[in-house]
Amino acid sequence: MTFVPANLPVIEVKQVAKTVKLNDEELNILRPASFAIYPKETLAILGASGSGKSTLLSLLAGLDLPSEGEIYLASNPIHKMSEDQRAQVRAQHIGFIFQSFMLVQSLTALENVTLPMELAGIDNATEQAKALLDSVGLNNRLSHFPNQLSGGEQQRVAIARAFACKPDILFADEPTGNLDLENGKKVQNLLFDLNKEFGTTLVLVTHDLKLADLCARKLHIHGGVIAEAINGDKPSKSNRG
Amino acid sequence: MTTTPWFKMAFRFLLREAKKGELNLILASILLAVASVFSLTLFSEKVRLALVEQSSQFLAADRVLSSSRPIPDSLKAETQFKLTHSEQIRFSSMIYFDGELKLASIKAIDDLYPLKGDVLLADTVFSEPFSTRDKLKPGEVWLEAKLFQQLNLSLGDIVEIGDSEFIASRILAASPDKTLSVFGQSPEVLMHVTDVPSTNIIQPGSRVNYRDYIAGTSDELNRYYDWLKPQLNVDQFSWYTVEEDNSPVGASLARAQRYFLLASLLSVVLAATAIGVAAKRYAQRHYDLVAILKTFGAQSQQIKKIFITQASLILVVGILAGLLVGLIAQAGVFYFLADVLPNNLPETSAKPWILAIATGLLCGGFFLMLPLFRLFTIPPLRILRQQLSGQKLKMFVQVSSTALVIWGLMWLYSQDFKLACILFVSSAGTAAVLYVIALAGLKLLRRLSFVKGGALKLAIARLHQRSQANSFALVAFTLAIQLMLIALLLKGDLFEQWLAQLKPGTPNYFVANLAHHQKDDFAEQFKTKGVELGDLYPIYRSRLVSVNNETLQDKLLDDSQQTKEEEEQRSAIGRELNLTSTLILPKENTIVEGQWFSEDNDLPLASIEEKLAKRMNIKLGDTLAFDFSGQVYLARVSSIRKVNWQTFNANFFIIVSPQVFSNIPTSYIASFHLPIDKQAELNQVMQQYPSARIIDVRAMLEQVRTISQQAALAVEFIFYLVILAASLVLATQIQASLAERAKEFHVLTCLGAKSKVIKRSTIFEFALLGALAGLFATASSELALWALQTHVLQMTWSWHLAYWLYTPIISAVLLAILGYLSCRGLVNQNYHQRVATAS
Repeated sequence: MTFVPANLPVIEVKQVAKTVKLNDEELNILRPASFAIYPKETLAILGASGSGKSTLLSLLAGLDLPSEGEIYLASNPIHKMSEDQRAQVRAQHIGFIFQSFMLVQSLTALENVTLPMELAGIDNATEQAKALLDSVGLNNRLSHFPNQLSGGEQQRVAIARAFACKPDILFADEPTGNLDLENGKKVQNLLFDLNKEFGTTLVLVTHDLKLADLCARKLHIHGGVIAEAINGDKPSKSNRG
Repeated sequence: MTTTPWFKMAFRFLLREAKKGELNLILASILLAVASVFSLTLFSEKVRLALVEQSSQFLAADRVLSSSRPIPDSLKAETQFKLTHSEQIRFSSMIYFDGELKLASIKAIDDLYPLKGDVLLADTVFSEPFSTRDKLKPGEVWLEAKLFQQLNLSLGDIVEIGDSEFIASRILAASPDKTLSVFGQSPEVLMHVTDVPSTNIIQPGSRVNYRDYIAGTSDELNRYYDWLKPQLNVDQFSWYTVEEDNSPVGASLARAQRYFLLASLLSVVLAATAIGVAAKRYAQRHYDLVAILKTFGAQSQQIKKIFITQASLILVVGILAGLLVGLIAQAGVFYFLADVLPNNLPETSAKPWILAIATGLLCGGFFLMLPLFRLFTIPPLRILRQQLSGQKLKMFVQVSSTALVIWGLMWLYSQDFKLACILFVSSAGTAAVLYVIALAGLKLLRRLSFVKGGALKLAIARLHQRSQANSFALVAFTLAIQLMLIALLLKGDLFEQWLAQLKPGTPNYFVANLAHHQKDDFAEQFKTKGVELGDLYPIYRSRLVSVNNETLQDKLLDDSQQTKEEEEQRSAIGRELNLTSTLILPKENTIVEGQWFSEDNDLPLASIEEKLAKRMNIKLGDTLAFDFSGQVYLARVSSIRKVNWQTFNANFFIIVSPQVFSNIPTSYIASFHLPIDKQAELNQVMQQYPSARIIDVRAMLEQVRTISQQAALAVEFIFYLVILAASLVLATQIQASLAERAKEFHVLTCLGAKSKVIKRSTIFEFALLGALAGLFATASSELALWALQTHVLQMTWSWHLAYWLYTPIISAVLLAILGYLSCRGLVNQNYHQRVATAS
């Protein structure tokens, strides 16, 4: 396992761009940008639908590869790693929360939380998972299947799962997007509380400005161009890397 | 860090899916493939063995080697093969008693005769026959009842054959291997083979037939034949097996076996299709799971292990369950049908087990694993972009590997390279053509813009929108319905032809050698006893001497390659031939060329059997010359006939018009059905006609009836399996489209469609698919049936017009019901449930 010292960036992005070919035409989804994210930072990626938020998230998490540039995740050069190598890095450093929860329908709440720990071969996974579900207030829902839980409950299971392997970085893609106000608020509080408790770096993709305001840093994407807003000011183009 | 066993994970996923019923269809498909192959092979193997065993009784052995010269002992290789050999010599000779001479067919047998079947004896000339295990002793002969009548013999009298004397010790009712020939065959006499030399009958140039009767296990028999074959000179030796037997028994057996084979192949291919469709759906259902697992750091090796383990577990459970169900099914069939089936069914070999497991592994393994390749390539990014669905295998690889497996299955099952190729090419061709037609048909439907009414329009739009998937479904439905139809029609035709052969009142006796002046009186006597005498045919034993003035020797000499049937035809021509003369076309005879004799015709005309005409190169208009009692008679060929030789009627190669022999007195032959309670009366009548000969075919009829009944049972059983397999294909197809439908229904509801419209459009959609599939299926099955019946099963073909109307309607209704029932859950959902299902 690679340890990330507090003074080194947990994610470092150097001149990363993403283009795709569509009917023989090159489409720039992300223009070249550089930035770094440091341990325990909270960062919101903001932008309208189709602006490239999810693409950036997929690149940072090693779910996809950039067309150009370099990305270091916990000092690992994930831009040149194979899918399996990136999966290993994810297993060691990353947790995820998705808008549509992405729970495994055939597994109970407890098994869903245990799953990443089992994949990583962590001992007493069940005990840890129970404790996590308890911390998200679902200790009475352990053996329920996702379709027996409300949306808010499902997202809480997903949060417990995301923290299961004690990740260095947590990626959350519109975590409250599918929830009503009340449940959204609950999930939001839980997310930030646990983040603080575990000392995790949080990268949040959202178009909800209020949610983004809870983060220390904000990256705005507009038409594939990434810019950073400092201390709530207007964004400035992010190419400091 | 310890790695949690992937096996545990695979097992947990599988168990959960099984509990939710997600694996039902895929398991059912594998189960059905294995169970059908297993029970079919087990059942048909047992019935086949039983049938062969029974039929061998007609041959009096499992195999017979026959020659016109003595068969050397070296060909028996008795030390090398564990077989039983029994020696037989056949020849004709006069039998003499008290100043009377009669021609008899002598069968010189040894102590082992018969190796199969029973010799039937009778206490008195017309009493009920009984089977015997008694052995014929040297110095004794057993004579047919007719000889006792003709020579006025009593049991214990001394008769002379050649230079020897014999005691006429028993009345022979029937020997198992008696040739069934209703024409002038002399009555049979059994003599001990060791007595033959003392008769001095066999001299150089004598017409003698030497036979080696062989019995043993089929493996040993095959091994022996493989060894023997290269040493046999085909001109000198003939090899007879039950299956090659051209008798009604042999033909029924061969037809039933071909049906078994074809129907089993159909059910296996159907089950394979069902597995394929279900497996694809199984893989698709796991796309998200793989994306989630990969996102959370699962390595590709872990994913492969998890899913290959799951697939293997499904396969093992499916195969084991299939074997169990197959075993129960065939045990059930044997239990319920114990009365009809033979008592001592032989034990089958390991073949059914091997075939069933091999089918399960090949079929299940391949079709289950193929979609997994795509599953393994699902990128983790799918978690954010649902449209990503992995890399498809190259079309070429998919198509060619699938083709190879299907062909392999056909070959494995039929063990007939040619049949597997023909079936494969024709079904693949049909599928391809159907696919193109289906695509075009669905496009055409879309053009029907005049169609008003929301539901129907929606149904058509939906069919068109997924035209590729629907075309595939249409092909699958069509093939399933087509195979069902073929099985059904073939079953009907097969039964009909069997029944026609065996309908009540089928003649069980022949009377021959009835003199011209006796015939009317004889018929009258029968009538008063309440027995209907069939058509009386005059018999002119004559020789065909020339065709258009060209002598026949020249025509026959250059033939080297002949089948047994041709050989018989040639021998029929070479020797005397039994002609008849009638103005009424006999039953089971159809004119294929020319015209049958008209009432007002006054020319000498002839009608010739088609195969003989072809072999002798005789055409319409040719002039035939017959030598009858030393005088030559001419006749012009006016028609060519097809004759069903497998009926128990008097059949003729050549029939002439009454003008040819212009009513020259001759003997007559007729068939009749004699109920069992009138046997004694027959005896009375026959005593008044000492020269007439009675031929009893009851034993043979009974044999054919039993065999046909058993074969019919097997055919019925197989038919239901085909239906089951076809239904499974339909169910898996509909199931496969459910996920997509869920989304569509959700969108439609959001757009304000009422659930009534959704319901109706679903029903219309499936009804349209069903009607199209039914129509295609009827057309293609009619074509396939024509090919099968005329080329494979040797049956006559006819249109099945009613099916053109019924099939599309029935399949439309059935599919509409099946489709609606499968989608009912989705159609009846409320908004919230739809959101949950669609997401």
